[in-house]
Formats: sequence, structure tokens, C-alpha cells
Amino acid sequence: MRIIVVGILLSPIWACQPAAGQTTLGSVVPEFAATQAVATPDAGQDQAEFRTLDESIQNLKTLVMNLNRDLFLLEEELLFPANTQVAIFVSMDVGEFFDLDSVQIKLNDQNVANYLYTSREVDALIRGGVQQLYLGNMKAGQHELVAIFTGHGPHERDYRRGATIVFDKGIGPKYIELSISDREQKLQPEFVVTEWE
Amino acid sequence: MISQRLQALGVAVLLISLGSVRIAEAAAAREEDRVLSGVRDLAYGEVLFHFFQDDYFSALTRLLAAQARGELTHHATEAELLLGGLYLSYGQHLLAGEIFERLLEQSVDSEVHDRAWLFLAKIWYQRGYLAEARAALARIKNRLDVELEPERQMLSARVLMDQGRFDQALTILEAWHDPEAQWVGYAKYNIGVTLVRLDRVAEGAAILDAVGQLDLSNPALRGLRDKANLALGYAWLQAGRPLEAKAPLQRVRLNGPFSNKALLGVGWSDAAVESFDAALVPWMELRQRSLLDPAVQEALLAVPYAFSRLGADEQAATHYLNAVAAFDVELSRVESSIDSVKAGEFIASLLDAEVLDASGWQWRLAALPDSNETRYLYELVASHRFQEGLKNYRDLQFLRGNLDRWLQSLGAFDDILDARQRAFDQRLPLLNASLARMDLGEISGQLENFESRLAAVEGARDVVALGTSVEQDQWRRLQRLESQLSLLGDDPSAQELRRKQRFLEGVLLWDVERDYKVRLWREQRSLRELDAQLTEARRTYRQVDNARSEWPQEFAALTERIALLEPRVLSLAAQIGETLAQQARYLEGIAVEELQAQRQRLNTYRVQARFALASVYDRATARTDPPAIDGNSLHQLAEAGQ
Repeated sequence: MRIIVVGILLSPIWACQPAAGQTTLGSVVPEFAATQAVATPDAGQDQAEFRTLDESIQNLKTLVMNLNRDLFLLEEELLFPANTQVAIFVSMDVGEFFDLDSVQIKLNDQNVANYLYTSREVDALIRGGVQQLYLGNMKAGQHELVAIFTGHGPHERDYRRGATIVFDKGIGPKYIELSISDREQKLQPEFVVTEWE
Repeated sequence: MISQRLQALGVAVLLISLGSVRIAEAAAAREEDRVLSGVRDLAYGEVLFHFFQDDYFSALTRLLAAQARGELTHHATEAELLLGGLYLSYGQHLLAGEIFERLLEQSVDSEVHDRAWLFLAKIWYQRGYLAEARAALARIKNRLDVELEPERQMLSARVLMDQGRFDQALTILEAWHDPEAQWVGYAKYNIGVTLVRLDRVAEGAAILDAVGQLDLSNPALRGLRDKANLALGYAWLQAGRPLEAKAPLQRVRLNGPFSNKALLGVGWSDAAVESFDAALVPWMELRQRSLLDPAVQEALLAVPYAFSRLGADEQAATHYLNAVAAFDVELSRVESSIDSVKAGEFIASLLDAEVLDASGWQWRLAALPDSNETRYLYELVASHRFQEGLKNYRDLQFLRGNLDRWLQSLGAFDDILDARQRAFDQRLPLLNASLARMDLGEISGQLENFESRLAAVEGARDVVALGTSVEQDQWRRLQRLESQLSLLGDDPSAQELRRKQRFLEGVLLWDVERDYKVRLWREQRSLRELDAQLTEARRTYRQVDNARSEWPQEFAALTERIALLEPRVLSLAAQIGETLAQQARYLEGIAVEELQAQRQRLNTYRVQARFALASVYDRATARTDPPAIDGNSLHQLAEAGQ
């Protein structure tokens, strides 16, 4: 028999996962040994080279991650020293009765944040994430915080509610959490302000 | 209860980070998360906020920062597990492995334990860490859920097959009795392939034949069916049984990704039994398709070969000439592709259209640029080794961008620190004056004095001492009046005045006596409040005094940190630059290797076409049979041609 090409490498399937519902490029194409004259790359040597590079890249990544952490810490300490730092956080617990659109923050009657939420951010809040909405500096003493939440309440009605707190800023950092939760009994959202030390 | 919920939250987060939550489960997972919410450290919640938006780099940075600051007291274990998941998401599988090894063995949740090892095994397999992947799979203790168990079985078999341990792979696949319906075909296919590789062709063929006749109505299995038929057909061809090869090859869909190879094989099965006119039918169809496919390239030679065997030398010569021309064009394209890859344009073009974010190890190249190189390297680019290498390259680019941004900020850090120093210098005199004015010792002495006076009042039950200023004034006047009246005689008018004085004194005493307890309580409370305020004032004084005295050291420490960080950033930026170049060279190297293999194949075909053409001409002259062509002669010709 005069066959020019006789080879097929039977390639097992891993990459085709039926549940994934999408075809991975090339994973379903059998490899042909087009001719026996064609040299194949030395797979062992290639893998060793890949591995050496991969390991050095992982080490490098770790070094960069740690450096990034140190730079992040330094930046915060420089821009927002602990003795003047005030951070305001937003969290949601459940969120059945309130669909958040935006939050406006006023500190001592000054507008310091006006944040419009994407659905992805709202989703992250509902799933337990806590957003740092404002980070700034304030003198020690008494300050007033007004938070205005807008969104949609029960029955798709437009909803706008405010929450106010007068807090004492001491020498250490001050953390304030604005929490949106559901008040089951009244089928209404509830806006709670909590001070953290 | 709370700790259980928090642990459950940590577990849920880890599972999501391991990519185990598929789209179909996403909504359900969110519902579950809602129930499980209960973050007790703000910093952990902040990490989750970024994590749930797939912003892994920010989540990782914040998590590491929060750990350094000790802000995760309530979520230490979950945070560590999440860190492992995030490292894994960011391709740092070795670090992730260390964390999992440390934490998962203590975890009571066997599901998390097993899933984590499966995903780690998967990423290790993809990166070619076969021994590590096997070790990770061995750590899985229990049967996984219906969705993941088939993945585990397939991965176990695949790792063994890549290690060349086909017998062991077969044992695993054959022992897997109840695979999920949709996995049956895949498992069988792998068994069939393994048997063929073990030279148990007949057994393997029976299994592949069954897979090759799966129901075509299931779109997910059509590709598998084609692949099994193709594998079976070529297995028969290799075994020298061309007649049996034809049926499975003809079952391959004509418009599927395997149709070129199937058409080629069908032609060879006919040619093997000297049915060259029948062989021409699929080969003529094939030669019109894209020349990028080796099967099509081969068809360019197969067609004139069949013509020559049918005695149609003129057509054979024409087709050989066309083949040579086509190979020439293709070779020049491959050459220019090699030059382009060597010039470093290929890797850059692959990532040009990509958004350079931190989407982690689940990232895959969404689209290929339209260029010669990508057409020739389509399969290579889709392979694990190239994709994983490209991911590393992309991650390094992202990290270099991150360091570039920090380098710009570092200059500003010095300015911020200088501004703070200037502000401190300006405020220091005022601060010193304020602190000097504040004599807390004197205030404290006064407080002690008040306390002892009140104690004396209470001890003596001096009810008048706690009266109002009016009452005290009235009391003093009545006392004075009493002493004046005592000097008067004993006449009735004097007696009347004394009686009135006593009456008024009695009324006043009655009033102050009545209010005494309330007034005493108020005074004591005021003193307590004063004491608390004094304590707070002392604390503030101390803090301000500390801040004043500590600032010079703090300033020096911050200055030093900035000074030390800058060389670290510069050094790592340089290292990243070098490693990026190495990684690019590696990727370009394997791309060039692949292109050179294609060039060699095309060269071989071209030499073969020329040789066959010469034979046709010779035969036309001498009227001899066409020469036989086989792999060995090709190899020699290819070498001679170069």
C-alpha cells in the first residue's frame, strides 16, 4: 500500500467538558503526525523550560504582591494618618426591600461622596461585601454625618431616606458603617449607622 | 451559631474563588450568600466587596494589607483560605498549594477539602505539573458531587495517560461504573484510545465504534462522535485494515472540524484497495479547502498520485505542478510568519485587543488576531502550554503596569511627607503653648478639694451647705438676726421677733432638709462626671503629647520606608522586564518551532511532488510504472531537498 501519511495520534479528551457547553479551541482536533519525517519538539525539555520559567514567575509575583501590599499600607499611612483618619463603609444585609441606586455623604454639611452603584457592586454588597465609600481626614472633635440613600423600595417605589449621626472623632482612626438591612415586620428597609473603633 | 455561619461563608467564598460555582448555580449561590452574610471585620468585608466583583488583585492587596495590620481577628481562618483561593485565581498555584496543605487538612468540611484539591490538581495538570497533580488528586478523600466526580475521574486518567501509565489509566476508567450520562461517551473514548495505545486494537476499536455511533441529536456529543470515528478509522488504517476504516470515517460530519482528516482517510482506505477512482472523490473535494490544514496539503499530492495510478499522467503532471506552486506560496507565507514571530510581533498582537486586568487563571484568549501567524499557529495557541505561558506573560505585563503606577506615586510620597513635616513645624509652637496652658494637676487638685468638702458635708449632714445661694444667704441673715435678737430685752415685742425668727429658720431648714438627698446625689454625680472628663483630658493630653514627641521618629521611619521601597520597585520592575522578555522568547520559541515543523512538512511535500513529477515525466518517456512512495523515501527526499 502506498500511503504517504499513515499516522494519527489518538488523543484522549480532557478539555472537552460536556457541561461547559463551549468548545475549547483545538482540544477536539486530533493531532496528526503528518509525516514520520517531521521532527517533533522535545516535550520533556520544553516542559522543563516552561516549569523553570513558571516557578520564577510565581516567585516574582509573590515579591510584587508583597511590595504592592507595603506600598498600599504606606500610601494610606501618608495620606490618611491614623490620628485624623475617618472611613465610611456601606454594607447591606439581605436587601429584599431596597434596591440601592446611590448614596450621598455629607460631613459637617459638606458633600464628600456621591456614589452611583452598578448592579455588580450592589450584588457584591448583597453577598456580604463591605464597600469603603469614603476615606478622609478630620480633626478630633464632634462631627455630623448625614447619609442619604436613594433607590427603589417595596413595590418598585422610588425611595429616599436619610440617616444622621453626630460622632466624636478622637485621636485614633474612626470607622463608621452605614448598613442597609430589612425590617421584616414592617416590610421596609432600615438604615443603621454603627461606629467602629 | 455565628461561627458556623461564618465558616460556611468562608467555605462558600473559597468555593467561588476556586471557580466551582458555574453560571447555572450563580443565582442559587447568591441566595445562599445572603443567608450567610455576617461579616464581623470591616476589612474582610472590603476584601469580599472586591472579590465578588472578580477584582482579584485589589482583593488580594487588601487582604494582605489587612493581615499585616491585624484587622482580621474574627475571620483569620476564612481569610487564609480565601488567600489560597485568590493566589490560585492569580496563577500562584504553588503558594496556594502550601496554604491548602496547611489549612485544609485541619478543615472539618471534607467537601471544601476535596474540591480545593481537585481544582489545584486541575491547574497543575494544565501547567504540566503532572506529579503534583497526581499527589493533589490522591488527597481527595470522598466521592465528589455529581458534577465534579466525572471531572476527577477524567483528570486522574488524563494525568496517568500523560505520564505514559496507560494501564493504570485504563484501570481507573474501567472501574468507573456509573459515570454521569453525558460523561459516558468521554470515558469510553478515553478507554478506547488507551487500549489502542496499548496495542489492544480490537478491544479499543469496539469501544470507539460504540462512541462513534452515539446519538447525533445531542449537539454536545457530535464532536466526540466525529473524533471517535476519526480515531477508529485511522487506527484501522494503521493496523492495515483499510476496508474496516472506511465506515467510521464516513460517519464523520462533512461540515465538522474533523471532516478534512476524514476525507483524506476515506481516500486512503479506497487507495489501499487500489480503488483510485473512488479515492479521487473525497480527495478532489479536499483539495479545494484551506491549504492551512495538513490534510488538505496532503490531498494536493494524493490527487495526482491517484491520477498517475489510473494512468492519467497528463492530469497527474498538472496537479503535481499545481501542488508545487501551492507549496511554494505556502512556504513563503510560513517563512514570513517565522520572521514575524522572531521579530516579536506575534505575542504583542495576541494581547493587543485584550483588556489588561487581573482576571486570573480562568482568563483565556477571547479572539485571535487575523494574521498569517495565527492561522498557522491556531492549534498551538489553543494548547495548554501556550495558554498558560501567555497567561504568565499577561500577568507580568499587568504587574509591570502596577509597578509603573507606584513609581509615579513614590515621588508624590516624598512631597506628602514634606508637607506633613511643614504642617507639624507650623503647628508645634501653638501646640506647645496649648499644652503648657493646660495645668491638669491644678484641675485635679481642685477636684480633690471638692470631693473632700462634699464628704465633709455628707459626714456632718450639713444640709444648709447644699442649699441654693439664696437659701444660704437667708440662713446667714437669720443667724445674724438671732444673735442681734439675743441682745434685746425680754419685752413682748422682742419675744414676738424671736418667735418669728425661729419660725423662719424652721421653714428654711425644712426646705433644705427636704431637698438635701437629691442635692447630695446631684453633687456626687457632677463630681463623678468631672472626674471622667478629667481622665479623658489626661488621655488626650498624653496622646497629643505622644504624637508631638513621636512625630520625629515617625517621620524618620516613613522617610526610610519610602527610601527603601523605591529601590525595591525599581529592582522588581527590572526583574519583571527581564522575565517578560524570557517568557516572550519562550512563547516565540515554541511558535517558531511549530512553524518550522510546518515548513519542514511543506518542504517534504514539495520535494515529493517534484520527485513524483519527474517520475511521471520519466514514465511518459519510458512508459514505466509510477514509483512507490513511502515515509522513508520521503524522509530521505526531505533531507536531500534541504
